[in-house]
Amino acid sequence: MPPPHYDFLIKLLLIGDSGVGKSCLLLRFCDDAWTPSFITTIGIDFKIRTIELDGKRIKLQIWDTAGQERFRTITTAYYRGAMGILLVYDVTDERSFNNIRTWHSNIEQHASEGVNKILIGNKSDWTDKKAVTEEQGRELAEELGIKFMETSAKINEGVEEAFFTLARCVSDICYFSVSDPFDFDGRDIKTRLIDSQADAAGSQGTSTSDGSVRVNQQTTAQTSQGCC
Amino acid sequence: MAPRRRPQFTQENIDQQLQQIHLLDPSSSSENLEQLGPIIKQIHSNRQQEVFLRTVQGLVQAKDAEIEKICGDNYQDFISSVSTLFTVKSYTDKMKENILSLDTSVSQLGRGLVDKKRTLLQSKKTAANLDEAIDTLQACLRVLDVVNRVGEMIKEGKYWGALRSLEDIQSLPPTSLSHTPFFQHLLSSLPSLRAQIKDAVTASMKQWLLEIRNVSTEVGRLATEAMEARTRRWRSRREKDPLLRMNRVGSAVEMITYEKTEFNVLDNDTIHVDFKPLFECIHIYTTLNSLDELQKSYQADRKAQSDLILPNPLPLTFLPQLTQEISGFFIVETHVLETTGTFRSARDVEELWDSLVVGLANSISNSLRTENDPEEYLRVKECLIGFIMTLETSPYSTNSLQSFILQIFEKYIKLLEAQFSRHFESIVHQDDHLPMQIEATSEAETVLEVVFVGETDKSQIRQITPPCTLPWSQTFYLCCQDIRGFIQKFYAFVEGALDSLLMEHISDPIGKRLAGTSTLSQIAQIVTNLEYFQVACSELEGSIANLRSAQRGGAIRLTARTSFETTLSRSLARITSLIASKLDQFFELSEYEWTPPSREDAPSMYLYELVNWLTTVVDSLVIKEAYKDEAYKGALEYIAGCLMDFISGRDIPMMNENAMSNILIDVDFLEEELKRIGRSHLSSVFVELRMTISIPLSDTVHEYLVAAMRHTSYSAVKHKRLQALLEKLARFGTTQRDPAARELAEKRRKEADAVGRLFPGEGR
Repeated sequence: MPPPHYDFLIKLLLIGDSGVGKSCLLLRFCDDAWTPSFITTIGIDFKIRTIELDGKRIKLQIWDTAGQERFRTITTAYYRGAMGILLVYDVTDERSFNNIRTWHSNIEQHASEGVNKILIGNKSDWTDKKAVTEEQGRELAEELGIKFMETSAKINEGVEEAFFTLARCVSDICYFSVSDPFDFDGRDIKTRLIDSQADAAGSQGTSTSDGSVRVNQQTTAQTSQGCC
Repeated sequence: MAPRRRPQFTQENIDQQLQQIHLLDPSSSSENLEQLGPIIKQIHSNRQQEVFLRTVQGLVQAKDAEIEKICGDNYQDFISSVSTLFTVKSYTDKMKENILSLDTSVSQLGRGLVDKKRTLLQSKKTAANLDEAIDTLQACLRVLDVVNRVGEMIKEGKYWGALRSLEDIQSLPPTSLSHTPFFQHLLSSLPSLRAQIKDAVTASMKQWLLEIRNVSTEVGRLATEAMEARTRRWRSRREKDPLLRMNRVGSAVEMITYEKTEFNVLDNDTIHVDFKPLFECIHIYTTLNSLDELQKSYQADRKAQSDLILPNPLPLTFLPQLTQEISGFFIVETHVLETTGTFRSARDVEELWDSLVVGLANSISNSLRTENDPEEYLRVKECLIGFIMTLETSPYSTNSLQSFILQIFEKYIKLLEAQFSRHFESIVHQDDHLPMQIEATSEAETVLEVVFVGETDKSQIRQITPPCTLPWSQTFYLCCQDIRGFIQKFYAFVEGALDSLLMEHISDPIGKRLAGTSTLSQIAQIVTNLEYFQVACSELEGSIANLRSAQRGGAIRLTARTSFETTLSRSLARITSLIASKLDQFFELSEYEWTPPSREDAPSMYLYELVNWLTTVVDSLVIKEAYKDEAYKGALEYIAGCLMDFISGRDIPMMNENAMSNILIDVDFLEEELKRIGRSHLSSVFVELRMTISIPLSDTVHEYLVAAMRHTSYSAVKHKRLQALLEKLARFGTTQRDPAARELAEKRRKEADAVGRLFPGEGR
């Protein structure tokens, strides 16, 4: 296998209720396609797309989780590996919006501390069925301290922006940590981030001994105003 | 007057005047006179003429005397010299004469010589001309010979040779001949010679077309028989071997089996169709750059021939022969299409096919218009089904024929209804409404087989001992019998149609949808559906057979079942390939370090995700356990293949022992996971990888080089891969500064060479 053609690998995760359009967002973003049929995601799936950000090639591995309750155990296992998480609800389905808090607390519980997040209200094209206003979405996002965006996978509105925004936040942090000469120990940032998760599994909460996690936290703190 | 007026001429005066006269230029008389004039005038004016004359007289006399004196002294010499001169003159004359005569004689001699020389030159020129003429003629003869041979070659059918000869003539190197009118004439006649060749080859092709037309029916007959034999052979084989039961004629397994006995309808004991004339014609036309022309004329000829196949009106008894002829025609066309490159386009042939099929359908419809016997319809259908079967493997679309069969079917049903409605009415009409009498047990069984009654009634009747009466009268029995007859006839028609309906309109579209489906859960659903369809085929076979009376026809085999089987295999393959492409993405992110400074004690991070994903996805598929195991096996084989490719493929140039140890850790992890999910038996896919890595890690290449050891302990290892791996290690070692590492690298390099020298046939 030839050496990887990218500078950074970023792992993103899509979560949210069943049927809010997570797989559709992913299909639109990675394959620029759309399908009207509702196919339940079985467990977990992922797609890869390489993007360019500030002259760097960034490979996005985007994990798509099943929204159904029966797959919950399987999907939560993937939280920890994620560097950025898209919380998705359906603007025509109030329940999916109300469940965002539950999803958010799941993240708090299972994901790495300080992981980047963004709130996505999907199906924005379906205006006559709208049950959650953009204002409501924005308020919730502010409350949770994360960015917010409305999207439509169907008419391809806001999809690119959503993924790019999240990718940018993650990559800024990656870049920061790599550019820190004292932290650079010759190993790849990707590996270190993964290691940190592995470590975190062993010693939750006390993982500050690992350099990258510390950096992560620091930068999150620093950028929490301007970024996700 | 005074003397002065009349001067006296003295001697001196006269002398002086004479002197003046003397001084006159004796050559010019006129001037003399001019100058003399004044003198004479002076003399005259002085009237001294007398004196002057006397003086002049005296002078003349003096001069004469002087001359006389001179002459008197020398005249003898003068005379002798004159005579000498005469003598000289006469000699000279003589000599002149001699020279003249000599000259004449010389010139006479020379003229002869010149004449001879001229003649000689003339002769030489003539000789050269003759030589040249002979050469030219010979050259002409050679060319003419070639031209002549062209004619003969055309007669002998050696068209290509003839054409080549013409080209040879045209491309002759320029000679003296090139500018002769003869040669120009010859060159100008080449196009007509080419036309001759073209005409001749066209004629031979047309003759061939005629022969083809004559043998088409025979070819078609042989093809039909061969297909029937093939179907029979396969059926008997299928009945013997339960494994083959699912496969129909034309399926992959059958094709392989058939290959051994393949029967070439165009070349066999009975018939041999030689396509040479056509190929030759194509070749010649291609060379003449007029293939277009041939293509058009061929298509037109074949169109005309195909039009001629269908007689109008079409006697139905003639139909089998006709379909055979059509089969033959298109078998030839297929062969031509396949063997002549771009000469025929599939579209042209399809055009012929489509128009012929339409014509055939129309002719049959016309002939059937007045036909009221359902049996005749059945025969037409059998014939068409046979026709479709014969062209099974050909690329022609039989859809329109299939729908035509359905049309016939509709009419057949109407006729059948009419026929049976009459039957039923007459049965009802003729019944005497008395219970049916049964004389023997066997008779009761016969009746029970025919009537549609519940099992309880049947068993009750079976318990009564004959003779006895049955609960129903003739009407019920006969109607049941006729209902069975109706159904039998109905399905006799339907069998083929149902089969193709199932294959072409269910199985094939499902197969087509597969390609556009990339969601594993959907494909799993397709797999399950296909399994039900297979069962449904068996059920259908059973129920159709049950509906038909037992006497007629053997077991019914729906070939659609094998089509479903094939589509199912494709679905499973699609699952495997989708999983493989996902695994590929995992490997893309695997980020192995190939020359790490130390060994890891935990497996690679990506593998956790990979295994997690794989187990989640495969386990959630709603398919048979066996299929899941297949999916796992396919996935693990793919993983093993990828890892194997890392250590022995070309992408990674060098590697160290640590990297290999890390791969083994990963393999350990995968095997552990397999154990966890209860599929340890799949670990076998890693045997080769493990063994190959273990050899350099445990430094046992020397053992591997011993044949006996190799066969017992390392049978799964392949030389080439081990060699590649050793080379990677060696390459890494040579980049190291540490002398020990460099020494090891050298050792690895030697080992790689040694492994490379092993017999390649073994351990490939």
